[in-house]
Amino acid sequence: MDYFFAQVEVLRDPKLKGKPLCVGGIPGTDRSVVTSASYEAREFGVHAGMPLLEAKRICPNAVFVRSRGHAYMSISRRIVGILQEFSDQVEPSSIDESYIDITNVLSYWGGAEKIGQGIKDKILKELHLTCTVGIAPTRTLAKMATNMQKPDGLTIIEEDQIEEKIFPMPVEKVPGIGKATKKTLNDMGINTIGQLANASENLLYKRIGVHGRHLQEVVSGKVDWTVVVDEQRSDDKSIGNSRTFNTDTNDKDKLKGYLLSLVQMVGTRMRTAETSFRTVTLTIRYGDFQTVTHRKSIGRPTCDEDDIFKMAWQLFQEQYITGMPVRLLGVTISNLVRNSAGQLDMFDKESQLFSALDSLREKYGDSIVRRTSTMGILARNAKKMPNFAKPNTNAQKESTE
Amino acid sequence: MKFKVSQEPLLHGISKVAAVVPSRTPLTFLYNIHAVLKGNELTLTASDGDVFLITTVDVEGNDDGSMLVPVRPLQELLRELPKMEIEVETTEEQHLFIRTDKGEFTIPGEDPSRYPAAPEEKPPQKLTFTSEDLKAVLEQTTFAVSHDELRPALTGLLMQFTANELRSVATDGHRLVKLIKERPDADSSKQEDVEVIVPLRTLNLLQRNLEDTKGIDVYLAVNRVVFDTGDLVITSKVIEGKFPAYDAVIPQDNPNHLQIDIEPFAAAVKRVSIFANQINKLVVLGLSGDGLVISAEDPDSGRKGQEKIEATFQGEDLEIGYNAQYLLEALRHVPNDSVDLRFGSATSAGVLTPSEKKEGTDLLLLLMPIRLQ
Repeated sequence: MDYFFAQVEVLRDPKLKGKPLCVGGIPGTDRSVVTSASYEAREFGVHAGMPLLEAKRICPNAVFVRSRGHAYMSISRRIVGILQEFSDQVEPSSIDESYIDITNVLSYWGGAEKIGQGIKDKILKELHLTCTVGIAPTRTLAKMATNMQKPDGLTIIEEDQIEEKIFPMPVEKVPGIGKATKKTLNDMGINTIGQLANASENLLYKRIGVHGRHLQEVVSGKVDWTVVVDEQRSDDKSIGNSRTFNTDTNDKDKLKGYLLSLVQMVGTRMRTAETSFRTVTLTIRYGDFQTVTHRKSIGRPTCDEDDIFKMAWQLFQEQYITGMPVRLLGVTISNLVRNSAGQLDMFDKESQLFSALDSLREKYGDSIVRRTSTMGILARNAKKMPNFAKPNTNAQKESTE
Repeated sequence: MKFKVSQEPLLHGISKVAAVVPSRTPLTFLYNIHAVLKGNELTLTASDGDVFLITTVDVEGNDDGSMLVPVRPLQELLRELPKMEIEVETTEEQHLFIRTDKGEFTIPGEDPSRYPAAPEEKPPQKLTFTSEDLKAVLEQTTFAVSHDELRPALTGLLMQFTANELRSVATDGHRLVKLIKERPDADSSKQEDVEVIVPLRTLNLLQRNLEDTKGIDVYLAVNRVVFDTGDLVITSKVIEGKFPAYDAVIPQDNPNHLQIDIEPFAAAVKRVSIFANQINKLVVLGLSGDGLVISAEDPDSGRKGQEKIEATFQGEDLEIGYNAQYLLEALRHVPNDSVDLRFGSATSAGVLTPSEKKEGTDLLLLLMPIRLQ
């Protein structure tokens, strides 16, 4: 959204239109900062994050109004609603910015430009607000595209235009390249994005680490930000399990069963490590090796295995592109906090249940107690593959799948 | 609106209600204080959206009216002024204008009608407590209130009012306090049983304002509770949700009985807990006919400690683990020299009661153990 809060305020009070406007508070009364400035105010050098008094000093004629967070929030939700009419793959990344994956709806809407213009028109018509749309093969490039023409812009970068449009730009235009990385790159003689794309991968890795290699892939349009980078590290900061299937599947019930058994493994490891978690990450690798990871966090740590599944399944339902064959699923918990081990809770029957389950599994193997929903998977597999039928081989067979 | 007032009573009134003003909120109008002048009475209101604090200040009124201004600059100014007479006035642009003998100060305000109204009528159910009684209830119970937002019903104090007693229960799942106070002077004929879960924040605000008051009127409704200290009215939402059936988790006949003096017991637990694992703070109570051995061990650092202490124990020999912090906190809230502990097994709740019951008061604490490996 273009200068979102300021635009909403102008909508509320049309007299403000064309005036330099700063949202955030009243200088002298509120000791706060500008949260949004109209383009008229930006011409004076006012920008979001600037202390109110500073803004007042450099732009004495500016009109100052207080933020009305709840109002922006509800409009923001309506914007996301509009985006969701175009594709169900919408990820609001902040109150005034969202990513939308239109890969699968391109032909339905008649191409990228039609979607971009359609979104702009609809937001203008329904909410009387202007926005800027950038369309590109990856989310980072899309974000860069929005920065090329603001406000009220629409920029499309096709895959074959990356070299022409993106490569000449200086590296600091890439979101994720801050001052420090820029300096390192410049010291390596890399000043433009094109030079970054063509630099030696090993050298980048040596100087900047995984991040450097990743940046190179991003600016080449090869991968998305959502690609797995840190999630598969096996340190004690996260506990995760993933499983590659022998044959790719798009059967949702089957996938749900796999997810459950993954959660079960993660849950057992979580209890052994005596930790609680706040974040669940789900990894889906499709048959074409495209890999996406998404995460969800809760405010307070929990050590409930059911919570892992609830969050993982919710992520799956939000993110899975229905019909696409899946090659691998992964579930990871992170933001781990150590439990005060063994402290009993008078209202918690569950913790007692799970510890009983773990001791059974330890004694008799994983297959001794299982959720009925994972048994469904096995039963179905058993029909297809007779060697699954013997109950005591289930555990081994399942873990190979 | 226009009035004259001394700096001191106005600052006093504002500071009283300002305690509830949130330091960060998206609802910026809550940074304000709302004031209404009627005759010579100035009513001040502040809120965090859930709790309203209301007080009145006697002033020399000239012109009735209302105002809505940010509380911080007003409070800061009054704090910096010496004891003196000041004139307060609102302008047409809803600015607040303060005049002292030498100074003039302006604070831009907002339209007072934007402020959410505190529910005006007091709920019909009224109970009266002495300040001491209510203070004792809060001091002995609020420590066990849960901070776990995933269990909202536990984040407040359950207060059950019946014809002749007040039952207060707080728990976070690891420990529980149940305090019953008789209300001998209550007029039981017009009393209906009613219970509310009062948020911890409200109780903290109340606790801070119990010092110079004699009696507190409590007004109750299904969704609201009002505490009136005479000086200050606290109107609060109550927590919706069902408080767990606490009586079901209190063991009735724990057979193993330890009687012990609190002071030496607590001191020994404190010493031994230095050697406990710093994450779960596990101390083990070894109970036998010979008395009590408190021990702790931290395998990570190799530290360990134990102490023997005289006590009267009847029952089967037993080893039971507790979080030292929970144990000490429980002991601190037993208002007596000696305590009775009744244990079931190593994994079931232990019950603490004061060895001597105080007249008209029934206190019970429950502690869940740590499972020993």
